[in-house]
Amino acid sequence: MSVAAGSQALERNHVRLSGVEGAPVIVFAHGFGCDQTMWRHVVPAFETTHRVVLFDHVGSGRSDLASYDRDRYVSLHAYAEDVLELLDVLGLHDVTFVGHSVSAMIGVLAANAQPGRIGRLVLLGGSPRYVDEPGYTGGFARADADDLLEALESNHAEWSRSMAPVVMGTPGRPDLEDELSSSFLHTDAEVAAHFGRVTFLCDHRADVQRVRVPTLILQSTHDPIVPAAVASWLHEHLLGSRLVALEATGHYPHLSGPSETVRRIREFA
Amino acid sequence: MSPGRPASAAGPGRQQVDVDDLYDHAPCGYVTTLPDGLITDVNETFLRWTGYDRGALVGARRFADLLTRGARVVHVTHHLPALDQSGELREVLSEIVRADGARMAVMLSSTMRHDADGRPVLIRTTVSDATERRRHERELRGARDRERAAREQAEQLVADLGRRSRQQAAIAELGRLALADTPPDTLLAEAAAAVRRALDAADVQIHDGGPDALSGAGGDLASVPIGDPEAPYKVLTVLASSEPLSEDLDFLETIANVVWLAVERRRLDDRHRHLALHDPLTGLPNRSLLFDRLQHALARARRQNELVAVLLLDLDGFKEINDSLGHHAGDEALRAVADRLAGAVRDSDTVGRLGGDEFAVVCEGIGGDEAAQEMADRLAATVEAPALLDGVPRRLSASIGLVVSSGRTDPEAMLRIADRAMYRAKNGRRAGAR
Repeated sequence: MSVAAGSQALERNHVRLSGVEGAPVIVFAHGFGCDQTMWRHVVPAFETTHRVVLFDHVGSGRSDLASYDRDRYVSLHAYAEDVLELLDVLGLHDVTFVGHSVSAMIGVLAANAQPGRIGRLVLLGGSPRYVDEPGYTGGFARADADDLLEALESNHAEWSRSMAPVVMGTPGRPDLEDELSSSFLHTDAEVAAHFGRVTFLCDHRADVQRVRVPTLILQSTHDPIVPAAVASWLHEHLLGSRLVALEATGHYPHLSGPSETVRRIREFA
Repeated sequence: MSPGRPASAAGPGRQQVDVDDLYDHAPCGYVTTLPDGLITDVNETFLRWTGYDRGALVGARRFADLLTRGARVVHVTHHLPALDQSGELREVLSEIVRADGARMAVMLSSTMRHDADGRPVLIRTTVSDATERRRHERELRGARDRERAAREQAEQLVADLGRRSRQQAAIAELGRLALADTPPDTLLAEAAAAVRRALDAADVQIHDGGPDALSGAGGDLASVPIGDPEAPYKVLTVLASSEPLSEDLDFLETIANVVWLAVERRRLDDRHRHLALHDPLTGLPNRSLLFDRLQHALARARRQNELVAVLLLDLDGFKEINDSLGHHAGDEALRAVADRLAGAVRDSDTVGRLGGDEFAVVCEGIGGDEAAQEMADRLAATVEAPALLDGVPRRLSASIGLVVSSGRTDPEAMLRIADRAMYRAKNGRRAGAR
């Protein structure tokens, strides 16, 4: 890969490196609706012992929105390819990939594609299938997708953009306004809706059963999005996986219980 | 009311305000939760709107669980992270499921409170009725979708117009070529190229018709017959990148029609030309074509130093056949002679009927007098084979005049000389018969 294409991939995903050079590598991948800042309570604990890689998926955070291609990002595979590409550019192997929410499945896909590149997986609040199926409890009905998409579109960026001058009170400073509206919800509404649809309707149960790298499943207490039954399903179907129930509550144990989350990941990686 | 609420207080110069009353009966709902969403307090307005008992919520439910499942995902994945990052959430639309199961559109604004160490302690949320705003949002989205649809329709219209004008230009160009008497093969190739350009189609073929060729049509394949659909002259087949529109089919049919009219006209022209230069009874070249061929043969003989022979044949006793057996038998005799002559000459020779019972053969590149004489003998022999005329066996014969030229003669002179020679032969034959 050429240097130019390499740096392009790093900019596309707003890649940030920290920690100890040459140390074991840990990659933190954010979930749907978030960006890499969600890891801020967890990252410092690893910077003394690991090489830490943070990035934003295309369409999220400070990624290059111009790289967003509706036709390409029609499945999580494209996001997994992005992860593998940037690891390739960075020349990193045998990394521990910590995937939150939708990134758990992105990690599964990447590990299946290149097990040498992804040495270990940590699935934090992940689900292979959000919608219920016969004999499988995902927690949602297909009809919930409509509510979800309406809720996403209801808070689309056009509102935040129209609000921006009022909030900032700086009509003469469009640069500040741009800053605000780009950081408000972080994503273009259409991109978010598209990502939402792709995520919500995906089914990666078969991919989970192909995983052959050591995997840690972390399930928080009362995750409003992923029922405990999903974590059990993952544990049952993922060969040699470990399931740890966290005391931390909610969908973001890395925010609500960062020290416990760090301890569990450390025990594994 | 829960313990720990701030006590009512009155500032200087200010009427005592019942803060509890203001809190509980404010025109909006108040919800306080722990950072993980567990509800620690709600006001009366919220309970009244949602129909829940205080006990069912406080210490028992998480705020996200009160939302519809779809709204919950967005709340958890989008609103909470935004709240976490900026410490507040302003006016986001969501949807609550009330105790009776009915849905209620709400607008949420939240602030996060932190302790001295900066750790989040609780989230305060105001909840207001957003039925109106959601209606407005839906209208806005509807308008946006309609505007997008209208724009796409307009773009499509412009694209269609562009397509139409390309198609019209293609038809005009092909029509021009057709009027300019372009040969059919060239016209077919031009038609294929024009269709390829106008439809932006990669694969355009013009092939021989037949049931198989047409039955292949379907999907993104369009086939249009050129000529009679029952027995097409050719079939125009287009493999388009997208499903052909009905306008495109009209275009293809017009192209096929232009090509077919030109081909048909050309065929009629050819037919007229043939009729003008051939004898309708025997199908042989007539006098003017034979004259033309002879002229060319003489010119070539001159150039290439060769010889040309003309053999002029006149049937003997033809009038007698006509008179005794009728015109029908006479015609049969003429056709039989024509066939026999045509079968007896070389490919390079031309047999023609000059009129009546008179035939002529032009032999190019003949070896000399001797070879010409051999040809004459062969023709005489073939004519003399027995023939059935109207069921009656008759023996025919012809008198033959022979001229050989090195090309330095004009056609009229040559035919005149041949004619004279033929009469001498006929007279000699009569004299001999006597």
